[in-house]
Parts: sequence; structure tokens; C-alpha cells
Amino acid sequence: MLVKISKKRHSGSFRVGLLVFLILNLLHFAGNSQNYKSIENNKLNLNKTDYTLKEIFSELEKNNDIFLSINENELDLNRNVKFPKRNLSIKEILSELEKQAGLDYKFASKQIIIRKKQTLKKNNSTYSLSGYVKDNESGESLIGVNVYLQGSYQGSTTNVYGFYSLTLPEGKHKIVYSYLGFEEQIVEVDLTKNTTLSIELKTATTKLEEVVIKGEKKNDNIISHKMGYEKLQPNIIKRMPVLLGESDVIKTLKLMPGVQSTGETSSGLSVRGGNYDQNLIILDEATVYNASHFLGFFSVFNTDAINNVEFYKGNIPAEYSGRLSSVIDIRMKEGDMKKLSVDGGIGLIASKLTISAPIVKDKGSFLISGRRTYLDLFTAFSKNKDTQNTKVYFYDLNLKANYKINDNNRIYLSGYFGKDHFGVKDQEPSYSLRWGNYTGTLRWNHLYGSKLFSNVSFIVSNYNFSNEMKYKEDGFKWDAQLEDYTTKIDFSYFPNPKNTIKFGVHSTFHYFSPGKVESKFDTLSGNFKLPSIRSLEYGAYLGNNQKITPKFSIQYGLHYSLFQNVGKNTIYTYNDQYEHIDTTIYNMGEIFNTQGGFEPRVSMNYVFNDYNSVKASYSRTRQYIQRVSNTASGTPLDIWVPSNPNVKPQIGDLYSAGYFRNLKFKDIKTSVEFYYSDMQNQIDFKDHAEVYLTEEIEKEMRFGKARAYGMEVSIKKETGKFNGWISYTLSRAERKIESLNNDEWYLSPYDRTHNLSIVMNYDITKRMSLSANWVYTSGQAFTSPTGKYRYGNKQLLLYSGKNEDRLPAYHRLDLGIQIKSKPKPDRKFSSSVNLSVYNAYSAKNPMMSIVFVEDENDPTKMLAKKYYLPIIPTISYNFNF
Amino acid sequence: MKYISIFISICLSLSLLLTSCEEEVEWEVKNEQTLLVVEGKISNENKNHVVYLARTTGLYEEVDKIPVNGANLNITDGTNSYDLIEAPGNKGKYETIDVFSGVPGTTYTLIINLDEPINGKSYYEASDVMKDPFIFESAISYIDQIDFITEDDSTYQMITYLYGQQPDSDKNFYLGEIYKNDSIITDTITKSIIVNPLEWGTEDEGLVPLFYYEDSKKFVHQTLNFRLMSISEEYYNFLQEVNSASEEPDPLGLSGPLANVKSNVPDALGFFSAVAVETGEFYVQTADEVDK
Repeated sequence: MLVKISKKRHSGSFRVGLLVFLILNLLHFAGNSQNYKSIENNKLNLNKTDYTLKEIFSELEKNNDIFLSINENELDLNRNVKFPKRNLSIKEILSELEKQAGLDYKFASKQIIIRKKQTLKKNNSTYSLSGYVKDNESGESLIGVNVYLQGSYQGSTTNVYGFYSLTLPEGKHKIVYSYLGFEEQIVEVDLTKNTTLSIELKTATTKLEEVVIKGEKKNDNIISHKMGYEKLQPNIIKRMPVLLGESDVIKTLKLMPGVQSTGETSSGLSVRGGNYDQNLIILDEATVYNASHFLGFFSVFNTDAINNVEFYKGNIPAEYSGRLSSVIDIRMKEGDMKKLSVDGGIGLIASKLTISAPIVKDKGSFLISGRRTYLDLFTAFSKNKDTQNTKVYFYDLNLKANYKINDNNRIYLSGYFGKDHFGVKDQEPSYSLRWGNYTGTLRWNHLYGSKLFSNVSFIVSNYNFSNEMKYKEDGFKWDAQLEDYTTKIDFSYFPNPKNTIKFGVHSTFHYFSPGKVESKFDTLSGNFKLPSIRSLEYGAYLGNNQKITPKFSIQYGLHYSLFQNVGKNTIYTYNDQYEHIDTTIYNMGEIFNTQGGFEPRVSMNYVFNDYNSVKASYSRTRQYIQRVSNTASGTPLDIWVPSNPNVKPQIGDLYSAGYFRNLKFKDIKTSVEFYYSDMQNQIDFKDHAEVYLTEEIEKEMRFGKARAYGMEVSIKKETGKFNGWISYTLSRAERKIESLNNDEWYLSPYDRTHNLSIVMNYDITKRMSLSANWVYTSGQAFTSPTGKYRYGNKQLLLYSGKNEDRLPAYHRLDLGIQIKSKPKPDRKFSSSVNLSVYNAYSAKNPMMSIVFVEDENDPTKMLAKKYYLPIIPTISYNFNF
Repeated sequence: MKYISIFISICLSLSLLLTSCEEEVEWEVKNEQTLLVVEGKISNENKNHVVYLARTTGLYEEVDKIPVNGANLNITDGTNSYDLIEAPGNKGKYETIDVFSGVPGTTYTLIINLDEPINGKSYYEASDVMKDPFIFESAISYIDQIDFITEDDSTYQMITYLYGQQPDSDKNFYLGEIYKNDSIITDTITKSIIVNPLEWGTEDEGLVPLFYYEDSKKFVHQTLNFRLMSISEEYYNFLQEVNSASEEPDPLGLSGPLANVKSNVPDALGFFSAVAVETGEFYVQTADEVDK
């Protein structure tokens, strides 16, 4: 077990105001070089000249200005050291320790980090150490586990399949495997040949604070080149207070810096001022085109089926492409490799059940996870007839199976099927709106030796909706869908501890069917179908994560993406007035309009010490398909359309820089990041655009540019009884689109000047925990009325400039309490009750906008109204065995 | 598509009904401004042509309309010029002094000089091209039970197909009015019928469909008159926007961002249109009679 010896703690600093705190830290950092100079000259009066290491460390710590960071496991604390005299400066003491005990030391502000001197053999022979890291209870692969050489920055992390590889010189090494929420393992290996070593980590059963090591292991945010990055594990998501009893990945991401919600009930995200369709959401590599259930109250991701979530909003790695703003990479659980495992939950409006078990113990497993709401059962008892006739529900199903063929080959098959139904039955006319996604992913992992890992994926992804209205024998039905077929090959090459190289290729065939309408009404023109659209999207990438020096690392990569439209297709040519002046028809299979380009990605990290680093990054991204919606949050009826000769690919350039600092007390991680995003070929819609079932949708689109910039501050405490985070974003997002707002810049609907989220969890006892979120954001920019007038008998509103006004600020408090059943050693069954209160003080935040309507009693009078979600308490019961 | 918007509104209303509360709020208007509102029309009918001028009112002002009087108005086709004078006792209404008929194919320009500037501006100008009229040949009209929900929840609709020659081989837009005994039934913008035959797929058939919903059953077995105005695409778009903007917006913003209706009078609101009129009559039957 590693320990940090420290007796003095500056707990007072944390009580300082948050922003002041960061500023102080910045100033403090600037003054570091002076601090340690003065400390090292401090004199100590020793009582004697012979000490053990343990004793002298204790003496050093009596000096109020010093903190020691020591790795107990690598040192012999009983080793004797003899000092030449009793009155010595700290520097002189440390020099003696260096000479006599073979210790290395360095100052980090007021901290002295003491380690055993690295005495790697000067040996040209290197060998690889590779394997998988898993959860010892379920056999699930653990993603992003830190695997490193003890006492150094040399190391790696497990990839999304739990695989790692380190190349090290011949000899004995202590390898550390650490992962939040799991007990750390240190394994001594004697490398005399390429070695496979798979590790199973134990879940932390005691308080996290006790098992998570302070010091270098927890500074992965400092030493990693990643910025604008968040990693979410299901246990974090499940701790949050929830709306209607369902914990939710997307709702948790909305509490991160730089992320804005696109609406009170929306599953949409705006990341760093980007549009909600500029986020690549993938589930086991398959794109999820509409991540919302229940008109946005829930996302399609069932937390019980999720293993890991990685969120990239800044430096998007080279392997990803296709969206401008962010990547949300969600990996499903693989299934329990050791035993039958059941998780379930019963909530007020939804219940869920997850079953996983081995197919062959430790070789293969499967997982089935289902969820279904039953609000429709309650609406039937409503006194209100409209509510009574309302049928509203969703269900989803996650399936996954994997099988290890041998040490070098493993296959995975996973799928998601989800459907929403929203409609009115038992009345004429009746309405029905159904929408859903399905995805399927078949993957084959293969190891070429111990340094080259490959994965081949075949992916299908579909989003579809059906909108139906029935009246007696007549009816109207609109079906639309988008389907992708993707093939990918990805390689990870681990040549040495200083480089991790990733490369690969991918290809996707997109099929868009924007509308097929069947109508039996006399007064409609009958059946018609908007033309199907086909396109191809390819890409190849190469990237390297390179450690140039122990303190300086760089990740660089290049993605080349290519997009082609494929016939059969009709392309119109428009004049400046958006009147179509020419028509070109492309035959079936004919490839036209090839567009593409390089997407460079680079990020750098300079580590000053274990507690401070600065990072900078640049990335270019391209987006070839976009969601057609005239709203800020989207609807289930939104279609996606590809780039074509009239719609140029969107291009984004993101520049960011940040300072990362960890506080040595209470394991607090802080960061401040600055970003500037420049986006070309951005799309908005003309005023009063018609976006539904419009064949020439390009006529409704207007093009221009967008920019977003801001500062994000994050303060996190991930461990201990009291944990959580505070995120604050100060930002601006603007657009300049031809013919809109007199061709002047205007605020994006996603612009929020201030966005503050405070997330707190407190474990009162081992069985009971409290959680609370408080959110405050500036009001949404919107176009407000400034007057009214009549034209004929119609009263119309006179509006301000586009998005010139703002809604009132949004704020909300959510509270939660979780009570777990008493654990019994002989009983596998455990359960918990979750009580949540959404919007605890019932803040009357407009759900989206203020609505201005004529007074029914006096048409000359205008009224302003808002709709809001009041306080919503929920209870849910969860169990597993 | 109107049906989609209706459908979305229904879904939205249901979702709100199920989940949300509603409250009236006091909203402070910022950047209040006043603009001129123009509502004028010239046609190929031989008559005095009329232009209405008004100004916008404050959002919470309990005033229907504030007319603008004392303005000098003139309509010109580049060769001829027609002055308008304010109708006595009807402030804000201006009529051409001369009775004349507009000529299809001509561009007409309305020039306005205000006595007192509005929003710092006194001079306004707006133009529209008068298209050729529809040449009417025959009509079929019948009352049928309505097969989709309408804004006013009518049960029956009057469907009238006008057959004839469309003025343009490419795109045609119409504004239709229906009369009974010289008394207009479609007496407001709300009731006027805006038609783009292309949207209904009847362009090639020389057919203009007119749908009328309000209390239509009472017209069975009666002869009605129509007045079909051939209008410019710009005016058609304006009327569409007027209809769309006057619908109650949904609180989730699904009906699209709010924006002013685009006018053809720079720095003002409203529209000055030039229309070519065709008139005729039709006999209203029942659906069964038409099937036979």
C-alpha cells in the first residue's frame, strides 16, 4: 500500500471563493520557483545524527512549510542514515539521503517528492508486457486503467477493450494498475521475454479515500495530454439525483463545463457553442442519430447496460471524425464472465432489468438489458379525456455477447433496439408518432504479438420515425429513416513506453429516406415519396501519443475524410434568390460531388510537477451530414441530410489552452481551459422556413459562419465521503448567416454567458448517501416582440433583431437520497431505494421560451405566458444479485 | 406541410398537458420601436384602388390599430401616375382619385410620403408585378365531410376545383375569395384562400383547388361566385408568413424561430400587391352527387 505522509493541511484555502481560489492558485504557481528556494535553505536542528528513513521523514515534516510525498512500498523505511552534524539545511539533509539511501528528490511548490532513484539497467533488450485489465467480480473489461511503471511517468492506459501494452527494458519492474473505484494493484515483474499479464482489479469496498493512493496515481489529469475531456463511469451517473427515477448519461454530461442543455426536457447538448447535431454520439461504435426518449425527458442510454462513457469536447483524437463539436463514446457492458448477475429497478414510470451471465466461464458472456415505461397505464385513469386517450411509452433493449476464441482473438456482438410511441388513440382523428433507433456492431479483436492490437468492426445504425393520422377509413402516414452501414479497422501499436500509435480506416454508406407519404384523403394529392439520398463517407487516420521528455508529451494525428454523393439523385442549381435555375439528374450508383480534406489534431502537455501542468491543443473537424430542424432542441421528426453541391461540409477549427492544478489536500483537481472555435459553412434556416417534407430543403437553408469562445473552470473531488464537482463556463456563441439579421452577427440560441453547475454527494453512512445538483445559467438568447400590428384581421407581432433578447436566468436544485440495504456476507442480494426531487424549490423556468398570445377576451391585448416544469419527486427501487 | 405542423402542435400540447404548468408572466419589452404598416392592393379591375396606412402599437397597448393620416400617396407604372387621397372619415384609408384598371405584366410602384416621419423615415417605396389572370373555363364544387383536423374544428369543407388556363407555365400563385349574392364569405385574411397549385400537384391539369371550411354545409345546392387573384410569388410568401406568424407559437419553439413577416416595403411592414383578377361562378353539390 502506498501512503503519503503529511500532517499539515491547508484546508482554509478551499473556503476561499471559487474564482478567487483559481486566481490565487495561478499566482501561487507563478511564485513556486521562489518558494522552494527558500524552503531548501531552512535549517533543521536534529536531535541526533543517526536516523532511520522513517524518523528523518518525520523530522522533516515537523517543519511547517513542508509536505512530503513518499512511496512507502518502494522504500525501506528502516534503513539507517547517518548525518555529519545536527544542524543542517533541508537541502543538505536531502543530499545525504540521495547519497546514502539512493533516493531522488524534487521540490513541487512546498512539497518534496521523494522516490527511489531509478536504476534501470543499461540494457538494449526490451520486452513487452501486455494483457487485459478486468473487474475481478464480473470479468468486465476496464477501460482507461492507468498502467505505469512505479515511480515514473512511464505508462499507458487500457484501451476500450481493456487491453494494454508496455515495452520496458529487461529486468525487474514494479507495475502499478490503478482505476478509480477499484483497489490498486502493484505487481512486480521480471521481464526476460515478452510477457502477457492480465490483471483483475477488486472493487473498492472501503471508503474510496482509503484505497485511492494520493500522489502520482491521481494526477492522470495532470500528466495526460487530454483536455476538454471527461470520463464517466456508471457509478458516477447513478449517484446523481434523477428526473422520474431514471439516471441518465446525457443529463450528467450537461453538468460538465462547456456543455449547455438545449432545453429543459431535451436530450440535446450544445458543446462549446456548437449545434446539437454537431455531437457524435456512438454506442459500441454505432452512431446514435437521435438519443432522446419521451420527447427528450430521457436519453436512450440505459445506465445499467453502460460500462464507460468518454466525452471529448476539446482535442478530439484522430480516430474520430464526422462531427464538429464533440464525441460521446459510450461502451456497453460485456456481460458477467463469472456468474449469473441480475440488476433491476422499479421506478414510478419505468422499470428495467439487466441479466448477464457467462456463456463459458471466463471465455464468453452475454448481457440482456431492457427498459419499459408505463406512463400509458396511468394516463388511462386520468379524468381529462385528452390525457386518457394519450398513449405514451418507450422501451429499449441492449444486447451484447462476447467470446474469447483464444488469447489473440475475441469477438463481440452487440445491439440496441429502442422505440418511442406518442399518440392519441380512441378518438377521431387519432394520431401516432413512433420513432426509434437500432444499432448492431460485430467486432473482432486480434492481437498481432504483444505490441499490435487490432479491431475490425461491422456496424449498422438506423434511425426511423413514423407519423400517422387516421380518420375512419382515411389516413395519412409519413415514414422516414436514415441508415448507415460502416466498416472500420483500427490498430493500436505500442512500440515503446514513449509512443502509442493508432491508425485505421473506415467507410460508411449513408442511406437517407427523408419521406414516404401515404395518404388516403381526397383533398391530398395522394402518395408521394421524397427522393432517397445515398452517400459514402470514408476516412483514414494516423496518430501518435508521444512522450518527448518525462515532462513534455505531445499527441498528434491526422485524419483524412472524404465524402461522396451517390446517385440516383436530383441536384438543383439556385440563383442568388434561391430560385432553382437548373436541374441535374445523376443515375443510380453514379458518384458525384467528392469533397474531403485533412483534419489535423495536435495537443501538447508540459508537466511542471505532479501537481501542475499546462496544455494546449488544436483540432480541425469536418461534418458532412446535418440534422434539419428549425428548432434549438430538435424534434423526433427531424431528418438528416448530407452535404451536396449546395450544402458544403461544415468545418470547425478549435483552439484551446488550459492550466491544470491538483491540490495535494483532499484530492482536489482543478483546471481552467480557454477555447476559441471558428466554424465555417454553418447552417441556419431562413425566417419562416418550412422544413417538413420539403424536397428542396436547400432553399430553406442559409449558410454562414459561427464562432464561440469561452473559459471553463472545473473543480473536482472524486474521492472521499464528500465528493462532487463545480463547473463554471463563461462563454459567447455567435453566428453570421447570409440574409439573416441583416447579415450581422447574432447570438446563437445556445449562447449562455454564465453556466454554473454544482454537484455534491455525501456518504452519510456506508448505506446512506445524499446528493444535490444546483444549476444556474444565463437565459437563452431569443427574439422577443417589441410591438404589434394588424394586417387584415390578423394581429402580428413586431420582433426585435434575431436573438437580441434573453429569457430569465435558469436555475434549478435537484436533491437525492440513496439508501442501500444492509449487506450480509452470506447473501448476494442487495438493493437500494432512491428518492429524488427534481427542481426542489420549484423554480418556474420557461421550458423553452416565453409565448405571446392574444387575450381571448380582448384580442387587442397581448399576454405573455410560460410553461415550466414544477417540482417533481420520484422514488425508485433498484436491486442486484 | 400544414398537417405536420398540426400534428406537432398536438403532440406538443399533449406533452405539456402531461408534464408542465402554465403561468402568465410580466414581460418587459425592450427596444420598443414603431414602424409603418402598409396594406395596399392594385388590380386589373376598373375601380378606385385602396391603400391602408397604420403604425405599429406597443405590445401591451390595448389598441387595435393606429391609422396614419395626412400622407401623400402615389401609384406609378413608370408611365402613368395615380394620386391617392385619404378617404373622409376613414383615417388611414387612401383611395386613388381616378378609377382605372391595372394592366397585367406591369410593375406598379407605391410611393408614400408621410406628414410626420415614423422611426425617422418619411419616404417609402414598394413595387409588385401584376401577373396575368387565370382564365376560367369550368368548376366542380361539393361539400364533403372533413377528413383532417382544422383550426376551427369544422366538420365539413367545401372543395372547389376551378378548371382553366394558368397564366404561367412554371409557377402560379393565387388568392381566392368566395361571394354569395355579391357578399363576400371569405371576408378576412383568415378566410381567404391562398393556393399554390404546384403544392397540390394540380399544376399540369390547369386546376386550381379552393378549400373553404367555415360553416360550409349551408352552401349546398347554391350558386356562389369566386374572385381569383393571380398574385406574385413574393405576395404568396408574404401571405403564408402572415398565416404562420399569426398562429399561436408553441413554447418549445418547434414552430421555428420568431421573426418578422417579410415585407416588400423597405423599413416598414405589410405589403403592396398588384393582382390580376378572374371571376366566375360555381354550383355547390354534395359529394355523393359528384361521385355519380
